[in-house]
Parts: sequence; structure tokens; C-alpha cells
Amino acid sequence: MDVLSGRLRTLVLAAEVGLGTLLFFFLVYFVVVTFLPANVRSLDLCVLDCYWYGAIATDGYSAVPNIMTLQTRFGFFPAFPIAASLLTDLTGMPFKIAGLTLNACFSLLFCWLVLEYRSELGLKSERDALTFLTVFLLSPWSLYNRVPYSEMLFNIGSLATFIAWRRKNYPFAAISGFIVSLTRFSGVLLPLALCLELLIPDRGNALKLLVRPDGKLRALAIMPLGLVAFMLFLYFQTGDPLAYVHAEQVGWNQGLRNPFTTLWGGLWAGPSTQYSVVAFIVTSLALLWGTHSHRIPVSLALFAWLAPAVAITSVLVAQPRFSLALFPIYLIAPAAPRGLRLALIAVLAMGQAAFLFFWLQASGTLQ
Amino acid sequence: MIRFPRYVETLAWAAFYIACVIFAVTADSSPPEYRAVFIEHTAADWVLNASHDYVPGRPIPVSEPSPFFAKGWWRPEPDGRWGKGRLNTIILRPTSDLPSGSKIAGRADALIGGDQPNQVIAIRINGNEVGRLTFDVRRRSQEMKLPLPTAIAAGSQVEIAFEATYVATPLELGVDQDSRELGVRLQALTLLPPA
Repeated sequence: MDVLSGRLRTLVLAAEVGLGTLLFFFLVYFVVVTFLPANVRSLDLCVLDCYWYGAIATDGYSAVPNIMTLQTRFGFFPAFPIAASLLTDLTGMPFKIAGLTLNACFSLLFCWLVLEYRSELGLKSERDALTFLTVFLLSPWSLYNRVPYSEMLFNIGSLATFIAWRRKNYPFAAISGFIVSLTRFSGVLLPLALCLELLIPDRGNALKLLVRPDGKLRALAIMPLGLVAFMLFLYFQTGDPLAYVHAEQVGWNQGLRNPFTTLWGGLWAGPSTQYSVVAFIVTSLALLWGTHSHRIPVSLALFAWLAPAVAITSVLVAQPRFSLALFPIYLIAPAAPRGLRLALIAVLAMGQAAFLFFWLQASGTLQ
Repeated sequence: MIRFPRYVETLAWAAFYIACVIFAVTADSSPPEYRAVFIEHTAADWVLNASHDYVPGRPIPVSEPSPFFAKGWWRPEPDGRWGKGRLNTIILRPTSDLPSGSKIAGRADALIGGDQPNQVIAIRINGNEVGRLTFDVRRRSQEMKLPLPTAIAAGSQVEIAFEATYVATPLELGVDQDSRELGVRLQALTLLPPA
């Protein structure tokens, strides 16, 4: 009976925090679209990447590149558009609504996972878990977790993989890790981080694991198969298994560059790049502190640092999104004293409202 | 039933991922136009079944997709087209003769700023240098009108190459948020037969 009521309580709490933060987002949205003059705002939450996901969900990858920009659908991983397309087929709703609904459902599931398995994340109490969830979901960069982007699927997939891994449920870890690597390229960094966390403190057993492989090694080996599957698909679609990399290179100017010159130049080039550099530095410091103070599990901190760090070796653009829309950094929030926690939540919520305002005004130029 | 030692599974996974890497790096059955734009970068624009035929005297379109822009160019922009990296080439086939006395004419500017106060662009036609353009903070943009080194027969392939001495990104120079490697920007270009 106690177990049942405990489970029910967790569900209710998850619904409260999940729906509460969701309600806040849409309340701000309706305030902005109701009170701003029509000539200075747009109703559309679906901009930039959302357009591409919508195109893929609607009619797949078979389209020629944009002749002016050479941007092409192959630059986007398929897990999110597949999920949105399934929901569209099941319900008949248009992609934009399906994408928003999907992310809303994922965020509720995210809340439940965190509350149910908080000890795996190192959250000491229910209050800590609620603080973490509130701060994460009300942060300005969680806008990417609301609009039809792949961030929320990436976050929940990473969280589910990590929890399953910690609970030694290796088959489930393998499946959710597979989805993560099918969602974004940086998904392959999660098995790498888990592997390092496994081997570094226990180097002596590394050889034993290789000689006598078990569910752990199998799960780690299966997780990157999402990327392998996408590469195979690209090969059959375009004849080029690295079409994703080439599309990013040609259409979005991605490529291997010196991260130090990029960061240094970014400090002087203007407000947008300064914002990117600061986001990366703040994230790095917060993750370092979180790991040092045992607030963030090492593998999650490593994953949340590697994902934006890999992006820094290419370009600075969208760095705040890569750094601050991932959940691990927010695990440090419960460490703040009560007054500061409340102030932090209020500031972040105002930030989210402001970000949404600019998003609707400028169609996402604040990436 | 044959029982393999357990480490065979580890070896199988290792072999599988090595095979994946080899496959990713070597497999390529893409169509020529895809390969030219996305892999080999020998064409700058996605212009299907386009001809390299060029009518002498007509401006080469620098602000829209064109089959003439070959290796080393960024996308067309309203103000012209930036060269990508050090070497930027244009390939065309004149539909009529360009006799002796023909000229290459146009306008170009270059990335100047930060630690890069000047830039020199060498212009070559079919490998022969026809001139150099020097840019600095006081001369960021200039007209050019240079003689072709030899007469060019109708239907023969012409390669016009712009070679920048320095290449940098505006982001690295701290002058702009653009992270593209830039050298020269072509604002206009025409091959002119003698009047």
C-alpha cells in the first residue's frame, strides 16, 4: 500500500511540476501573442531547425538542397522527426502541434523519471529533485525543450540511458542509448562518457571486461548503433554514408577548427559570440564544480561538457543551446541556499519569458 | 555445437566498428553532382545539368547560383561572393573566340581588419598570372581590368583562379561574428573581347 501511494505521489508531483512549467511557457506565449501588436511579433514557435524537422517528418529526406544556401535535410538526425511523424499519422495533427505535444509529453516523462529515480542522479531528497526540475524546465534555454526541436528527446533519452545504466538494466540502457545516438550526433558521446566512468576508477578490471564481456559491454556497443543506422540510411539515400558531415560542412559551415582561436576571437567579435563564449565557460565551470562536489555524476558531467566542446571545435554559433539546454548542469541548483534557489527560479523564469518574447519577435535569432 | 571463448564477442564488436569506420570513409556511390558539391568541393553551386558555356561580354552572375563557380567559393550573397580558403577558381567555356587584346574586368574586395591589415590577390588564367590586386585599410575594394595572357578559342575550357595570400575568419580577427574562412570577394566579373 505504501509503495502504491509512494508511486502515486511521485506521479502527482511529476504532473504538478511538469504541467506547471508547461503552463508557464504557454501562458507567456499567449500573453506575448495577445498583447503585442501583430507587426512586431509572430505566432509561430516553429523556426529554423523546426522547419527542417517538419520537412523531414512530412516527406522524408528525399529533397534537393536549397540552391542558395546548400542546406539540406541530411544535416538532421531522424529520431525526432520519426517520432513526430508517427504522432502525426496516429492523430492527424499537423507537425508543429505534434512536435509541441511530443515535447510536452517527454517533459512530463522526464519529471517522473527524475522523481522516481532521483537517487541515481545523486539528488538527496524529493525537494532537491523538484528544485532541479523547476530550474531546468524554467531556464531560458529550455525553450528548445518546448518548441519542436530534438532537445527534449535528447534529454529524456540521455536521462533514461543513464538511469538504466546505473540500475544495471543494460538492455534498456542499450535501447535508449540507441535512440539518443539516432537523435543527434553528440548522442555517441554518452556511451563514451559511461565507458570512461566505468574504466577510469577501475582500470584493473578493464581487461577482465574485454575478455569476459557482459551486459555492460554489450550495452555500450549497441548505443552508437543509432548513428551507424543513420549512416547506412544515408548511404542508400545519397551514396554517401557521411552525408550528414558533408551537409553540415557545406550548408552550415561546420568543420574542424582550432577551438582556442574560435573562443578567443569570439570574445572580441560581438555580443552574440561573447554570449556563446560565456555560455561555454560558465557551463564548463559549473560542471567542474558539480562533479567536484558530487552533485553531478561524472559520466553525465563529461557528456554535458563534451557535447558543446565538440561543437566548439567547429563553430561558436548555437553554443548556448548546446551548453545550456542539456539537463546535467542544472543538477547543481539544489546546492544553493533556499533564498538563492527561489531567486534563481524567478530569474530563470523571467529569462525564459524574455527569450520566448525575442524568439517570437526575431524568429530565433538568439540561438 | 561449437562454443566460442567469451572474448570473441569483444573481438566481433571491435571488428564491426572498424568495418563501420572503413565503410564510412571509403564507401561512395553518390551521383557526380552531389560528389562535386558535397564531397570534392569542385562545384560551388547545386545547378543540375548546367553547361559551362559562357557568352563573352556577359557578366558572370556573382550573386546567384551559377555553374561557373568551381572550387573554393561560399554561397552567393547580394554583395557578391566570398572565396572560401586560399584558392578560388572559376571554370567556363566561351561560346565565341576571345582574341588577343581581350580583357578580364570586374570588381573585388578583400577581408581586412584586426591582425590582417592588407591582402594580395593573384589572378591567373589557365595557370598564367595576369595581375595582382593589393588591398589595405584605405583600399578595401577595387576595379580590375587586366589583359588575357593569350587568345582563347571558342569552346576551350578557361580556368580563372584567384589566389589570396592570407586567409582568416572575421571571427578570428575579432571584426565580425562570421566564422567562414575568407580571402577575396568577387563583386563583378566579365571577360571582354576587344571593342
